[in-house]
Amino acid sequence: MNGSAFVLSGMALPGGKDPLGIWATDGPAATPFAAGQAEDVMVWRVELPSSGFDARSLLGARTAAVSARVSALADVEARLAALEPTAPHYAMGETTGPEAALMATIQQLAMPAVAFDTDADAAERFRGIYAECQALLEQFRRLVEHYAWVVTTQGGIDVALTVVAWSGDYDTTWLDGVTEPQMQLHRDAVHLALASRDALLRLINVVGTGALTLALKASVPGGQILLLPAVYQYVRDVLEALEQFRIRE
Amino acid sequence: MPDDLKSLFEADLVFNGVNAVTGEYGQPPLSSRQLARLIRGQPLPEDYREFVERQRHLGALTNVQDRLQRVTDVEFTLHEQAMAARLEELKFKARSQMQWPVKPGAGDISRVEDVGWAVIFPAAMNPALREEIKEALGPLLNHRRAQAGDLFRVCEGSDAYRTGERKDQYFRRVGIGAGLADPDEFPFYVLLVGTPDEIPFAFQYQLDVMRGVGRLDFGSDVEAYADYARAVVAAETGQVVLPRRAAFFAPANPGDKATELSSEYLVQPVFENLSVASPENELALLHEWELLSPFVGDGQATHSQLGQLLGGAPGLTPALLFTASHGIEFPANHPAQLRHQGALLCQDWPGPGETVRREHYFTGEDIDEEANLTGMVAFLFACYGAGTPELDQFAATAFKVREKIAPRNFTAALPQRLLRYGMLAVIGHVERAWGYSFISPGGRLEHQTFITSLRTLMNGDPIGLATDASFNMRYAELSSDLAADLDELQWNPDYISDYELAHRWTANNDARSYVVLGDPAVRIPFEREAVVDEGPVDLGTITAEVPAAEGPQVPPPLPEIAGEGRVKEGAAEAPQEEGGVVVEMPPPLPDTPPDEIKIEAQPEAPTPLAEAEELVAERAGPSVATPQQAGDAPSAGGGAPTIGVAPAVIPTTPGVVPPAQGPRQLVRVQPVYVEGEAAYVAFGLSDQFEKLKVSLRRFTDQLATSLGHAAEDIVTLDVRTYSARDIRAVAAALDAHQDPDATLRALTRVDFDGDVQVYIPEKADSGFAQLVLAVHKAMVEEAQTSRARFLATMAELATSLLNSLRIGS
Repeated sequence: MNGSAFVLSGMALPGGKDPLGIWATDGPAATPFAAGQAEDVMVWRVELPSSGFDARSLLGARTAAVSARVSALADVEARLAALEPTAPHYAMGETTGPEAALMATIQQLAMPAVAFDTDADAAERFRGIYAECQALLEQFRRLVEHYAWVVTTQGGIDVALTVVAWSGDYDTTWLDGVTEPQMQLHRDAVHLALASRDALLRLINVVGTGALTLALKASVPGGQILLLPAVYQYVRDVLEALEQFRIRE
Repeated sequence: MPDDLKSLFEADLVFNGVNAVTGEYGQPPLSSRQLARLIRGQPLPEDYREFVERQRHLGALTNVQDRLQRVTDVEFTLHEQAMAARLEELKFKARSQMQWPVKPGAGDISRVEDVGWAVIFPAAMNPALREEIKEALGPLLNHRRAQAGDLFRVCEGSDAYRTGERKDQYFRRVGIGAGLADPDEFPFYVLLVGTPDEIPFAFQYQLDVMRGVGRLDFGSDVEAYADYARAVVAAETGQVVLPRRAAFFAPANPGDKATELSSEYLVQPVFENLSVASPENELALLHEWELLSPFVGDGQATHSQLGQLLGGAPGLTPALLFTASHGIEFPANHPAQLRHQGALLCQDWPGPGETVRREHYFTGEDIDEEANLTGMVAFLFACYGAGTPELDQFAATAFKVREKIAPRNFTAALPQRLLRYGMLAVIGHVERAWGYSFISPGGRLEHQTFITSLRTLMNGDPIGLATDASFNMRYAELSSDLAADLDELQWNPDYISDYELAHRWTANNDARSYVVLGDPAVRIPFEREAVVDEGPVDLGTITAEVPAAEGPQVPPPLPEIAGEGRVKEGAAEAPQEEGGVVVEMPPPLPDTPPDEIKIEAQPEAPTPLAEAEELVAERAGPSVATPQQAGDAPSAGGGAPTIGVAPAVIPTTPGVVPPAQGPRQLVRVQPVYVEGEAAYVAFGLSDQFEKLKVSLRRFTDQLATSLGHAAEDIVTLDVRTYSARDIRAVAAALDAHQDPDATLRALTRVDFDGDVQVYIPEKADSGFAQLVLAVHKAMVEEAQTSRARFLATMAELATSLLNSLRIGS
C-alpha cells in the first residue's frame, strides 16, 4: 500500500479540508475505530507509503506547509491591523484584492438597511458565509474540547498511537517490533498534528481580534460577531493568495 | 360578561396546579362553601379526613405523619405575626398616597443612579462559595457600582442576612429605618443572592413592600452567576437591542376549567388591552409593540411552540413573554421534584385524570441548547412557577398542620435555566397559584394588576417596579379587606357570601406570592423609538434639564432638526420634577455658535466595559469611534438610542439663549432615531447572527473549560510508553474506555517544580527495549515543548476572545 493521507477525523468542515489546507476532514462518523466514544476524540491520522524516503518527504512537506501558514497568519494579522475602513480610498475603489472585498462588506453592513433592500445576491452571499463560519466555529470547538489522538500508519499498518491529554500528558503505544525509522515518522506525525492544532487556534485568534478591531473602527452595528464571517473569508482569501504566490515562486 | 362567569363560584372551584404523578389537580376542586370553611380555619371533620386521604393517595410516602405535623401555637403565631407585619407595612404604603414607596426628593425611582442598588448575601452561605459568586457577579456589581456611586451596597459579613430574621429584625440590626425607602439609608433596588433556604421567600415578600427586590439563586453553579452578570451588562450597555415584540402563551387543556378560564379570561383580555396604546385610566404605552397573536389552546400552546418562543426559533423569540398555565407539582421528595416542579404544563396534556408524560410539560431541560434569551423578560402565571416552599401555607391556614410538600424551599428550575440562558428576569409565583384572582363572583374581570405590570415592563421600566404598583398594592388592598371580612364574619356569619370570601381569599393569596427572579433593576433592552406625547413626564422618557431664563420662563422650542435625529417640536412643555433621565444642558460656551446648543448625555462614571472599549479604541488609533461615542450605548435610565447616532444638535431660536445661572427647568426631548434597521437584519441574517453568537460563546466557554482542566492537571506531566501487538485493538479499547492489551515500557513524571521521576524496567536488554527507552526520552522532551506551546496558544486565544466577546457580543 503506497498511498498517503492526512486525515482529521472528528471534524466536519465545508469542502472536506481544514482552512489551512493541510488535513482532509471526514467528520465524526469516520473514525477508524470501533463504535463507542469515538465522538469524544479528534483523530489525526497520518497514512504514509511503505517507502521510507517517500514517507519522510511527504511528512516534511506538510510540516513545512504548516510553518508557512503560521507565517502567513502573522502577515494577515498585520494587514488586518493596518486596515482603516473609514478611510475614503476604500470607498473610491482604489484598493483591490481581498482588502477591497472586505471593505465593501464592512461598508454594506455598517450602513442602514434601506440602501440594500433589493440586493438579494448580497443577502444570499452573506447567508452562505455566515453558515460556513458558524459551522466552522462549532467544529473548531472540538479542537479545544477533545483529546488529540495521533495515529501513524505506514504501508497500511498502524505503527503507533499517541494520545495527548489537556494537561499535555503523552501516552504512546508502539507496535511490537517497530523500527527506528518508523518511530521517527510517528514522532514527526505527532509534531505535525499538534503544530496544525496550534495553527488552527491561531487562525481563530486572528479572525476574532481582526473582526473586533474593524468593528470598532467602522462602528458596525452588531459589532465583532457580525464581521466574523467577512474577516474569516478575508483571511482565507489572503492565505490562498499567498499560497498561489508561493507555488508560482 | 358571560353568564357562565357569574355562576362560576356556584360550581366546584378548580385550581391551578397538576400533580405529575397522578394527573389530577394538586389541590382537588372545592366548593365555595367548603373553601370558605377552610379559609376561616373551621374545617369539618370530613374536610380533614378528605385532606388526609389525599395525602395518602398522593404519597410516594405512605406514612402520612411524615408529611403532616401539627402546627404549634408558637409557630402559627410567628407566621401570623410575619404576615401581619407585612400587611401593616403595605397598608402604610397604601395610605402614604405616594406613587412609589420612596421618600420625596429621592429622585427618579427608575434610576439606579438616584435610588441605589444593593446586594444581600446570606450569612449561612459558605464563605468560599460567596467569594466565588461575588467574583462571578463582578461585571454586574461593577456596573451597578458605577451607576449607583455612594448608593451602592454589598451586604455581607455583619450585614449579611441571618437565618430566621424577619425584615424588621434585619433592618433594626443593620440600622435601617422603617417606612418609605430612603436610598441614602438603604438602596431601593435590592438583589438577594442565595437559595430560599438561606434567605426565605417570606423575607423577600416583606422586603419587597418598600423596595424593588429580586433574587438570584443558581445554587453553587458559579458559572451561571457569571453568565447572568454578563447578560445584564450586555443588555444595559447597548450590546443587546431587542425588537419590541411580546408573546402570550396559554394552554386550554381539554375538560380543564382552570386553563379554560386563564386562557379565555386572562390571557385573551390582557392581550386585547395591550393592543391599545392608551386606554382610559391605564398606563399609556410609550412605544409601539408587536404583539404576536396569542398562542392559545389546540395546536398553539404546545410544548414545541413554547420551545420555539424560548429561543428555539430565534426569529420568533419575543422580548416579553406572558404565560398562563398549570404548573406541575410532585409529591414531596419525588426524584423529579427539584428539577421539574413548577414546569409549565402545555396543551399536549390531554386533560384532568390523564397521565402526565414528560413531553407534556416544559421545564428548564427543554430549552434549546443554542437558545439565546439575552434581554428577555418572562411572566409565568403558574403554580410554583418561581419556587416552592417546604411547607404548604394552605394546610396551615385550613387545618393548622404543617404539610411538608418539598424536602426544602427551592427555586424552580425553569426560571433558573431561563436566567442562565440570558433572560434578565422572571416574574413568577411561589406556592400554589389559585386562579380565580382575575374573576370576581359577580363575573367581573379583575386583571388590572397583570396589565399594569406588563405595561410597566413594555415602557422600559425596571422589573422591580412592575410588581410594585400592581401586585403589591393589590395585595395590600385585598389583605385589608380580607382581614376586615374575617373579623366581621366572626360576629355576623352572613356578612359576605361564601363565594365572595373564596374569591377574596384566593385573590389575596395569588397577589401575595409573586416574586422577581433576577436583578430587580433590569429593564427590557428594546429599541427606543421617538416619543411624541406631550403629557406628563413618564418613567423611561428622556428629559433635558436646562437653566431657566429670568422672568417668564419660555423654554426654547425644539423644532425638527436636519439629518437623522428628530426632536419633537414644542416638546418643552410640562416641566416635571421626576421621571426619566436628566440630561443636563450646559450653558453655551463663548465659542459656541449662537444658533446651536449641543445636548449630550451626561457622562456617567465609566463602566468596566466602557473602559475596555476605550482601551481598545485607544490602541486602534485616534480615528476609532467606539460604539458609545457613536451613540450606540443606551442613555442612562433606559432611553437607549438606536445605533450609530451622533448627539442631537438642536438649533435654538435666535436670541433666546439660556442663561448660565438660574433655577433649572425640565425640557423634554425624544431619543434620537435613525430610520431603517441594521443591514444584517434587512439581509435576513438575524437568525444566522444569533447562531453565530451562540457558537462563539460556546467556543469560548469550551476554551475556558479546557483551560481549567489543563490547569487542574498542570502540576505534573506524565509521559507513558507502551508496546502492543495490535495498535488498532488498543485504540478500540481506549475508545470504549477499557484497558488496552498493551505493555507499559516506561513512565516519566515531570513535577511542576522540575523534579523528574523515571520508571523503566530493571532489564531492558533487547534491542527493541533499548529503542523504546530511547524514543521515550525523546517523547518526554516533545511533550514538554508541546505543552508549553499549546497552553500559551490557548491562553492567548482565551484572553483575546473573552475580552472581545465582552465588547462584541
